[in-house]
Amino acid sequence: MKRITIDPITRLEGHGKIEIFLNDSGNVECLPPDT
Amino acid sequence: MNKANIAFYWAASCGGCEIAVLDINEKILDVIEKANILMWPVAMDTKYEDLKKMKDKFIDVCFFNGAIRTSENEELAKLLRKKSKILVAFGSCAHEGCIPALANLFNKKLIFDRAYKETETTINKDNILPMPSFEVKEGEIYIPEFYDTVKTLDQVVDVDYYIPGCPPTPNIVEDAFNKFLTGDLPPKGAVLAPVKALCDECPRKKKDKMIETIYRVYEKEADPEKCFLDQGIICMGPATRSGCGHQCIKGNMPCTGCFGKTPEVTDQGAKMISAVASVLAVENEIELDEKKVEELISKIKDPVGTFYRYSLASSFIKRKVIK
Repeated sequence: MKRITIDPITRLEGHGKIEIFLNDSGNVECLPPDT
Repeated sequence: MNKANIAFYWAASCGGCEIAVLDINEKILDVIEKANILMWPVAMDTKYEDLKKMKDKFIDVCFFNGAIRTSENEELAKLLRKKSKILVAFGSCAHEGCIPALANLFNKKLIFDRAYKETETTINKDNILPMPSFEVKEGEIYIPEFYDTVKTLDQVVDVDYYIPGCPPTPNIVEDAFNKFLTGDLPPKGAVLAPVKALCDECPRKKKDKMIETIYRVYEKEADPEKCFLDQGIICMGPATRSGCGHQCIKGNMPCTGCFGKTPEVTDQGAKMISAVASVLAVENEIELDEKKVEELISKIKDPVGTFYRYSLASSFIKRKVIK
């Protein structure tokens, strides 16, 4: 599991942050469509 | 000539101070000629990690606007203090707390209850409130902590200079930039604006009339030649620092006090309450019955928002005690 942090989000004028979790194969796991 | 390294940051603010930087118009080009902007989240892509990697005192001057509302605001204030030779409280929020600090009449619980549960447009059946940390399948995620009390910048870190105003006016900003870029600086702790009260420089005719009632600005069209206080309209001019060029006064609106107190005043709101009491005929209260005094005082709607609109966080009272 790898964690990527974008802080702050300058495309949003510095508001907020994004945290992305990548699984062992380097992908973001998507939730099933019904959740 | 080596260029100066400068940074801009915003904490709890509205964005008006960011616009104030650009309000100096083409003179911003002179600033760019003499300075490298290393950080400016509203306009440039710099991450907090980049800032952490800078050597201490690498930034020559940091212009910090906004009050301290969250743990993120405080962390960045401390980080920018460490990385900057000169830290400047830019604008009323960093200087005195300003509008965000009026939330000091409430606390975190009351604010969250109102914002996340009680507003007429909110549906929150599970009463979910923001939490500083939250466990998800992938790990723990964090958001900044929301504090009970809004603070000024100098209540969390040492501040070198102050630029007043909501927002600072172009003449004040330009003058401050020139001072920093040429090194022509007053002693540490100075507010970079004139020391006189706005009232002392006001072009309106003042007769120091005793007034019998108070009008809110929408209740009376003010005579543009006469003193607002003489006309029964509260004007913060007697308790407020000059330097704004009387922009509001020229627009036939009274001063609301955004440049903060003058150097000889300890508490802007208390000074103004005293000034109003002296024109409201309340000084003769021995001759007035209590009912009449109360009636006069009740004409002042929202006293905190009137007398402490910008200075609550830096005033004697600082916040409301909530039991």
